[in-house]
Amino acid sequence: MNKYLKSSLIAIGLGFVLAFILMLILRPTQAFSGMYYLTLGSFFSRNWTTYIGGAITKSAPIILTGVSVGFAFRTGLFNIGAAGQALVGGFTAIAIGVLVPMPAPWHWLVAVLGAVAAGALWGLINGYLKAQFNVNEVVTAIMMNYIGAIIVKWLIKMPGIYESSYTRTYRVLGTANTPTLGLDLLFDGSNLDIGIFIAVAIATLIWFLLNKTTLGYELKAVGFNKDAAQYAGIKYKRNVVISMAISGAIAGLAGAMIYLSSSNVNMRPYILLLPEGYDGISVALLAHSNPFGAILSGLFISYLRQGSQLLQLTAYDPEIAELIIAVIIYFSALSSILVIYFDKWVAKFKEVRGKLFPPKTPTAPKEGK
Amino acid sequence: MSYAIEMLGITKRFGTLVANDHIDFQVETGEIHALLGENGAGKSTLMSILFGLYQPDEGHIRVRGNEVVITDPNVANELRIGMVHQHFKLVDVFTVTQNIILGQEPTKGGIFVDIKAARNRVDELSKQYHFDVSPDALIRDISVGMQQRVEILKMLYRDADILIFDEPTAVLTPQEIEGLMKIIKDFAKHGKTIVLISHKLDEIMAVADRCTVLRKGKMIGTVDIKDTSIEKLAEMMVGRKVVFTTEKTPAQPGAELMAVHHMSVIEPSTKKRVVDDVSFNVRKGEIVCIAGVEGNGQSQLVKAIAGLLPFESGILKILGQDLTEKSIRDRWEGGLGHIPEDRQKYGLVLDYTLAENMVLNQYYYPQFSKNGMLLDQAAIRSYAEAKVAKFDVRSSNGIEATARSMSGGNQQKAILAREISRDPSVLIAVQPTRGLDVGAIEFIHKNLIAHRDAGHSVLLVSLELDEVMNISDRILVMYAGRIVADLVTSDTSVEELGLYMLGAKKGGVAHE
Repeated sequence: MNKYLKSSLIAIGLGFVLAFILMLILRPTQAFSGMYYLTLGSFFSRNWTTYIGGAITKSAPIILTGVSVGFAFRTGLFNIGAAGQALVGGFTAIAIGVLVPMPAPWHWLVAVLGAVAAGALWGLINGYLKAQFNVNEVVTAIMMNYIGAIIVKWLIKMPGIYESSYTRTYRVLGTANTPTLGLDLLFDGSNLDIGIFIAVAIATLIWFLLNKTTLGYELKAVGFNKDAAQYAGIKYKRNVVISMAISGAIAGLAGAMIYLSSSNVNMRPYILLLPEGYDGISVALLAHSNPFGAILSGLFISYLRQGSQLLQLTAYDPEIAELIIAVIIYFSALSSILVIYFDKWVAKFKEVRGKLFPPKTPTAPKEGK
Repeated sequence: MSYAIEMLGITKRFGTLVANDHIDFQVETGEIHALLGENGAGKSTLMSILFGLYQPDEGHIRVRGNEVVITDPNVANELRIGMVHQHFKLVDVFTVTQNIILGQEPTKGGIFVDIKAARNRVDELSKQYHFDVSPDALIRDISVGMQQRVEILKMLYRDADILIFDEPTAVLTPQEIEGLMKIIKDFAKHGKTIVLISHKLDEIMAVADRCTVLRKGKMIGTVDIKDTSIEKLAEMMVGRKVVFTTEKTPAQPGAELMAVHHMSVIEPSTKKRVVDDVSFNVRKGEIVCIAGVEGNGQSQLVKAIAGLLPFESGILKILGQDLTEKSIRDRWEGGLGHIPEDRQKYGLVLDYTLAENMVLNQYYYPQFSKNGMLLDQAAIRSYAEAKVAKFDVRSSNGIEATARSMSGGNQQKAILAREISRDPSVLIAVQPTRGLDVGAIEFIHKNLIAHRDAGHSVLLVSLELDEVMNISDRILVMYAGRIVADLVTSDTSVEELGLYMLGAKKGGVAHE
């Protein structure tokens, strides 16, 4: 098995064990049913289409921010600014979706492209500051997050966007909603749209970019060893700017997927930063920065959140799910050590088992096929 | 005759690899005993067992005649065994004294560190052995040679009388090496027992009394230095005869391939002009060596030519084309090749595979990419496969192994393979054999000469006088940022070269 996948699975397993212990302590009688609702409840519920559809819908943005953060990691940068990039992207999508009427497929496409451009710009500024003045990208990204939040807060009250009686933005015009292609009917009771396919396509594209193109070779070389990249004639500064711009663009797209969804999502003026941006860091860490891994870990985290809604039936707080996610992220950060211990435990277990039950004669392990 | 250390029948396995195979290693009290072997022969494993870092699978150890089990380095310390590691273990922002007492701080009342008493003790030891180390200096402010002396003081402070030196000269300049050799001899005179791990034969011949040779984990034998020769030791170590004076025909210099006119370079970290109005050329079919004591501007000269540092003034021409203001990539394409001084920092992306590293500066060539956009993995792989085979680069997993997992010698061979395969008109090689064993050195020298004979040229920067004298056709001596001599190697003696390097000849700079 791929060692990264293995370590992520170990982390997830340990996360559940710890959560279960906690649930036993909090409400011993409810622990088993709580665990059931959290992990399998959504599947076996009567409204499973709503729950699963909802989990998939909500996974698309965090898969995208996960791909965004993971991509930056692979090129040696920490894009902590996905939250701000997604926010300016999302706002741009809303502005286009509300203010600029256009015919159906084009409206949505323009709104998406606007979000991508806004996110790319927000990332590019970080990259430029890093390349030109060697300012740490984490510091500038945090600053840019707040600058983005404050600008959005200011612009959101522009006439035509803001519905002051509800203290929120207007819904985007129907023409700007992400197409559903009937997925919302397939998953009855959900607002599932093609966002998940877009997320999968972007993850594939980024994987291809990183592994199959000369640009990806350059970006990774700069990320691993900037001195050697420079020696080889790769332009370090240009690559840092490109990398941050791409990462920002994907985060901006995530913002568009949140607000162009036909589910009832509006932006409110007291919003500061999108939690989906920070979720991207968790998704990327659990995925070991692998774009395909981000699809799995994004779906997983989103599914766990859905389960936590059901968890309330057993009188647990839904925050348990957040706690599990946090524990899992911690464990996956420790993954390289965990794998070593895990292998040791397995070896020890086999040794002890061998001592307790010595194989006397060739046993017949495969009896009764 | 009493033995300070006896390691008898030591066997250590790592998985299927037998790092030490029934090795008998006996060191007499008060002698300087060299432990010789190529990279990966099992020297470090053996010493790590003695120092308690590994446990042997078989065999036993006696120290000063007593049977011992060394479970960890603290036990080794108690047995008064000290080790100077190849990579120093010092805290940069601590003073010399603070580093030496670290872990054994003398205290007043069990709470306050008695730094004064410690300082005096360190000063006393430093004076006793003429170390010239200031107890109050910060580690980051003193030279590598001085840092090594701090490591030695650390052992002395702990009353060690069996001292192990792991490749102690790998990081030192020739002057510092001489100083260290004096110190080691002095220790032996004071009755201390020395184990010197090395693959540098001349050093072993100069200081050791006896020498134990390992090869591929097996013990080859122990010899008296006075009964042996460099050639015999080399043969024991490598397992075949080694050619020391590299075979090469006299140079037949042709047209000028590279010219540097009035070049000056400023070192960015110190803002000092470290290359000062330097002019020289390199011609077809010759190996030109820039010789000099480390820190006289050679590194910056090469970095500026390779495009890693800007010129302050001057012109660089390769094949007649002015490349002074051109990008690094333009320089590669203009006929330059470069084996950098720091192979892990500049020469390789350690987390890339060997295959990926083989095209580090050529991945975008039409041969390796489609439209300059998509990598042609198959082409890269087959290219890497061919070059790795041709230059005998070894790794655990063929071309799919990461560069990080490869030994230093093979990393260097990989860079050599990459650069020579690009067929550059001018190949710059900076200390290409630093830290390598004789087999690898011989291989690299042969290839540099072959590159010259193929109608190209080589600009070699070296601190090793033997290398300079053996390989080069012409020598440019750098001293204090200037080229103070342009010599034909065959008409020059080592002594003369040494005088130029120290600035004693020409230019009228007095001996330091």
